[in-house]
Amino acid sequence: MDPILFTSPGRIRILLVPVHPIKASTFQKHIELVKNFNVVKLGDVTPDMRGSQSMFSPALFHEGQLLFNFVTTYDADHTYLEEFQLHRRIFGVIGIMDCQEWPELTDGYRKFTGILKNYPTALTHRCFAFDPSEHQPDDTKGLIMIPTVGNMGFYMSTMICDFASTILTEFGSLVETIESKTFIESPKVPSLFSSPLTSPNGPSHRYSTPTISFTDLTSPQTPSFPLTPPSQVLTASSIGNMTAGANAKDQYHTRSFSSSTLATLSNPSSMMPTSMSDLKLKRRTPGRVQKLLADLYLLAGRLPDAVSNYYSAIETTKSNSDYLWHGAALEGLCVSLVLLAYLHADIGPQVLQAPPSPSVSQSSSAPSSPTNPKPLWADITEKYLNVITLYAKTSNSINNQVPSLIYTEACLKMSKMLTCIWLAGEWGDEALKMIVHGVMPMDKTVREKWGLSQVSGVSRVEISQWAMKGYGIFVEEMSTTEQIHVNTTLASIFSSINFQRKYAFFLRRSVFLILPLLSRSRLPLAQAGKTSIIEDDRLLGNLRQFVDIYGVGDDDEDQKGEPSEEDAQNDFGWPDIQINVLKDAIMIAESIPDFHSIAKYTSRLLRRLFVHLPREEQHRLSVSLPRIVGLAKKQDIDMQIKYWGVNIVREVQVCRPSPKEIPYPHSGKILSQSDVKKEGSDGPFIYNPFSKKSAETVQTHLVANETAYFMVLLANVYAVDLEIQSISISTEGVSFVPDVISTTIPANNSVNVKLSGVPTEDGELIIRGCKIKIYGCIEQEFFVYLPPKEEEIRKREKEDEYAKRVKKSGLAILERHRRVDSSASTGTTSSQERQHMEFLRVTVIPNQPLLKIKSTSLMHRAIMLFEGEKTEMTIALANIGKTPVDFITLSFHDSTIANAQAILSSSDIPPEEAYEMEFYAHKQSVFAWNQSDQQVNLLPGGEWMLTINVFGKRECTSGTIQIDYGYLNQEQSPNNDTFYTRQVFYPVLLTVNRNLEPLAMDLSNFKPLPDVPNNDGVQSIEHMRQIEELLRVVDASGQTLEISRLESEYCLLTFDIRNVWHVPFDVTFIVDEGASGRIVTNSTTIQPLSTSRIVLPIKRIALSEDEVTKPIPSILDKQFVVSKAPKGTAEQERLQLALFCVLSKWHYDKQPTNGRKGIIDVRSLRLNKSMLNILKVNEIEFGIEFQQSALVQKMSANRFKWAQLTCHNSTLTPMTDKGAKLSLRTQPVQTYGDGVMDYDLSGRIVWNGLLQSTLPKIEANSSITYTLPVCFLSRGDFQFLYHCEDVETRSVYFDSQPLVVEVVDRLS
Amino acid sequence: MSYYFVIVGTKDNPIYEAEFTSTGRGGSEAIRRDEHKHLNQFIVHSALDIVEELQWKSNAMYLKSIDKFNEWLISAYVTAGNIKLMLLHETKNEEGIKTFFNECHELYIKMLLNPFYEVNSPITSSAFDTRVRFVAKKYL
Repeated sequence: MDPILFTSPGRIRILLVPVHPIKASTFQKHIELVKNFNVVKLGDVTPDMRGSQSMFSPALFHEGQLLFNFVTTYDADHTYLEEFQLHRRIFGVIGIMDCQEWPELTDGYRKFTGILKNYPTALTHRCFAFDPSEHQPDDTKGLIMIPTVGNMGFYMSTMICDFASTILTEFGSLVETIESKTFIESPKVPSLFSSPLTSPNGPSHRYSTPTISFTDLTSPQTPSFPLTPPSQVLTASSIGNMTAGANAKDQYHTRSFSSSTLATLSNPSSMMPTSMSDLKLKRRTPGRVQKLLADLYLLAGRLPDAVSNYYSAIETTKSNSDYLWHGAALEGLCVSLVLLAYLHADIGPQVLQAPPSPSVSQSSSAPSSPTNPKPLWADITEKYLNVITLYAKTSNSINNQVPSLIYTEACLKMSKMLTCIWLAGEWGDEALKMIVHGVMPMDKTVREKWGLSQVSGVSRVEISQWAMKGYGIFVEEMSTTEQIHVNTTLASIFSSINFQRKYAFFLRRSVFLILPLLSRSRLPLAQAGKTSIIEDDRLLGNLRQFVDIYGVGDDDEDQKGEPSEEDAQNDFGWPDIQINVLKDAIMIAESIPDFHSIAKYTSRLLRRLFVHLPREEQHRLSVSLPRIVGLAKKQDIDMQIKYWGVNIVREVQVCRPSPKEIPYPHSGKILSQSDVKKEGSDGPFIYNPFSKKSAETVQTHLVANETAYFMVLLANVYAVDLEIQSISISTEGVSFVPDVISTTIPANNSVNVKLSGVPTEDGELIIRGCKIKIYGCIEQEFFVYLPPKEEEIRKREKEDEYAKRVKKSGLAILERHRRVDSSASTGTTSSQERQHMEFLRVTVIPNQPLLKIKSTSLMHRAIMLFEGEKTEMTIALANIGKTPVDFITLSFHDSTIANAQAILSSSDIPPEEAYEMEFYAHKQSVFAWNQSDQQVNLLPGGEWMLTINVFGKRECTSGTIQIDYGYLNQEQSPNNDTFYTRQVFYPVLLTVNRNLEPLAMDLSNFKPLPDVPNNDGVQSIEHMRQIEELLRVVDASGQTLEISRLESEYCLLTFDIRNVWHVPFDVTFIVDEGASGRIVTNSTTIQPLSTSRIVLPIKRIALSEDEVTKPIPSILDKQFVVSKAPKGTAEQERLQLALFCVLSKWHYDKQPTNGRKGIIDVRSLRLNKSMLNILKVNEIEFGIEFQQSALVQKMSANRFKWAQLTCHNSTLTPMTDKGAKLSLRTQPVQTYGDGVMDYDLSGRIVWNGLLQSTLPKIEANSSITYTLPVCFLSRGDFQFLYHCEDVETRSVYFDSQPLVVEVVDRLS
Repeated sequence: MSYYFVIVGTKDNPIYEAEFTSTGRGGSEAIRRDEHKHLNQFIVHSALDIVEELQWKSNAMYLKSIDKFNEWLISAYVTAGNIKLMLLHETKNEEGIKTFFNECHELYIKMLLNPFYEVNSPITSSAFDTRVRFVAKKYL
């Protein structure tokens, strides 16, 4: 029962003693039974045999109740208070006997009577014998058999009533004793420091023998079960009680109780009063007697009598300023009033009204009057204030000094009463019930109430003030048991009003007070090999509670197996205090000793507060953990501690394998060579926002049965080195064989560790984190999650932002965390949380082959070439893996592409230039692979030879050969599966030297020589002969050509070739005429640094209008960009297009000598407009002659000749199918040999007809002849100039050759 | 005469702690204080309950002496941001303490204006410390 109960002055203390031997559990059971009857109505009590003249006859106040306080322990410390506060006495003793243990009941009873001697203040006694067997006779006098059958409750209540009746009767004789006394002393604290006056037969020397007998009886039992009723409210207080029983052996108990304090007090020798104080005492005694009488009335349940007696006692004590007793009487009065108020609910209002009336009449000075509408509790509060002041006044007096216990208890009682009212919410029956019975509800809703309770008007601050009043320096001077009582009561009060921090404060103090007692009492127990588990559990429970309130309470980490991250929410609380509290907790756990708790608190201290701990401390704590395990092992407790700190694994990354081992995924179809080549140029757009950056997204794949490497970042936030005995990757999914290594992380440092392992099958591998065994701890899995997604981070940031705003302060924050935690740990939310947190996933692909370039034909990976040279190189591949290779593809890169690309994209070059550039960059490849049709099958260990053509491309400096290979296993797997290839790169350094360069190109018309060579001719014969030779070459090909056709079909190409190298080159020109099948070849040798002119007859090219108007295509699929260059005229464009078309049709081969072959590129030569005119086949051809004679003619004057102009439409294209409608213009001129032309020919020539005439329509590939009869009238050289104009298109056609006529006087 | 001054954040966390003694005393006094330092923290911490209760009942920021433990008195001052200024002292000196708290609040607000200072984080500024000590010397 709560030691500081408000109504304890109204309770009769009855001691329940076990009559040994009895089992603890049986005793406990019977106690519970007896305790059910702690309230006895006065009406039920058997009236006294001696009739109504007895002072305490229950008949006079039927509504009253007797309240019993059944105790199992008796605190002998307070014996000195027994005659001041009568309720502290033991009024009765009830023995509990187990008939099963006592075959002879009489013996048991004898033992009980022996026990009784220890309690001389007991007015009466009973001995209950439980569970009697049938053969045991119920003949022992004074022994009451409690049968197990029948209405046990009724039987018991009858017994208790009978017992109560006896007590009431005995009260009468007690009164007589009290009244007969002449002196009644104030109580003196029997200790040296609080009272200077210690009686010579001080309590410390008295009656040690009975004490020992008492302890002998109880001590073997007390520690093994709590002797207090199971208290729901206060675990701490029950411990306090328990300890009071447990420490019965302790020295201060030897000063113990007196067998009859009253007798002692009446012994004048013990008091030695001086005459002055003697007189004073004598004067004060009547008041004191009255107070004691009132106490007895209160105990007997005769409340009206008690009240009236208290009032008179107050009067008397006040008049002779006996402050102590005055205060005590006031206290008693308050109790009586409360009890009356409590009973009124049962008996009606008139009784309640009755008692205050005498108070008006008897004491006008009483702080409360019935007219005052104040509720009773306010009245009591005032009275108690008065009590406190009265007590405080006594502090200077010597004889009547208030014992600090009384003072403290008064404060605490008041505080408790207010707490009850606060808890109940109002002053009413509920509150009264709580006050009277001292049972506080553990309802959570009540506890969470805060602020001013509006109805009751009691504020928590008031409660706290009362409570703190009772706590002062003087408390520390009390005995340990008393201190424990005070502290636990305070703790319970603060706990009830939800002052968590104060609660924790006092709880901590109580635990500290209990601790030394506990360890002392444990010692013999530990030797006997017994441990009381319940006791430890309660203490540990307390530990948990106060540790929690200081913000270092249990968290999930203890339950969950995984060490968590440093959480940001961990900033709650006061680090200094937290460190202290945890150290206390460790100390307490050590004294128990509970190894699990020691380890728990030590690791928590390290985990939570390492920031605030100095290095030595961290070291000490971390070292102590393995020591604890060792100690636990000695005691046969198998204990394993988890790693205590924060997660040390910060990051796990899959290492990219070396470039030649990276598998590249390909989806679907077999990849062709072009597929690989196309990298970087997919899609027609310059910028494609949807295209993925291939470099970043290449995922790392692991290959089955090949060692995979992981980079693990380990961090140690502690000031001590962490020794990691083993660390390995922990995975889920496909089977994985990790390799285990060990390492050490230095203090406050991080370490990168490369871990390896082999996945043994293909599929998905989930990397959960690492399995780590730290020295002294068990192996644990440390998880590593992927960094949260974007929205997750944003959400968290938002929450953080929100958290910065202070919405709750103090412990409310803790509550919120706890709620979040609990919901997270219990419900589905946790799994959802988990889902957000994802592990790293890696795909493991099936076994892959591995190739190596074994050898190549190159030295030092370098090759030197002439420009245009073609050569071959070989690469030997070896399969060094365990899987065959059935797929190989090659792709090439060279240094020119990037350059060309850069130029193309940066500068705004004309399209024909761009075409040239692109052609150069992309169509001329440095490398080419002669892919054989043969199926690749390279078995493990086998070799394979590749032959690659190399071309000497201008300006190329380096290139790369990329070999993609894989094992497709096409027979078994369908083609559209994703497959993987690996790559081998072979870089080649190229040196390309210029050797021959073409220069100064020109084109000229080709005119066959007249059959009759003329020595006076303009052209040199020598030169003519060369051309003849050329033509012979043409002839040699087998076909004879008409001279006239030669003129129209061929033209001469001339250009220089310069040899810039220092060796001679043989150059062979092969003119491939394509469809007609004629090949013209020409060979020459060019000496170093010399230039030779090359003349080649080439076929003229007919360009149709269609071809000419097409835009210049781009070789690459490029986005069309509108030209930024200024647009030329339509004709210019046409010209450019035409030039381009011509160029694109040319192709020349050249071959250097010396066994090295190559080609010379003549594309660098550029055509101009006049060249184009020559090269192009005219649509309209002309022929002009006089009467089928030779071209250059001599004619006699003054004779008409018929000049025949033939227009031939040679176009074959359908465009001109409709025929050409032409207008022919002719102009004869006279030439004088010096280039001067005379256009005025009147009198020199006459003609019959029109010089300008429209010709009829000429069908395709047909001719029309226009005849103009001409007569020259004078001599001289004449020329006929002519041209045609298309009447529709206005395009003009010229002929290169005018008709030249030499007119002589007369032909010979 | 010694004082223990602490500023407590919203999470029961101390953001500034200081001890003032009126005049230089002997070493024994210092040792005794060191022993008491932890107790001081506990006492102030336990008084937070009462601060939380009282702060809703008064418009004033200065809550006067709110609690006592043995001979120690605890005065409290709550800012608008629920930062508690607590002073542990032995003698009653309401006016002085009130001025002291007001000055310290002023200093704290100046501290808050610092863009690099976050609410509830410990105050490490030595300037703040010096000023608080100066104020303490002046008014306590």
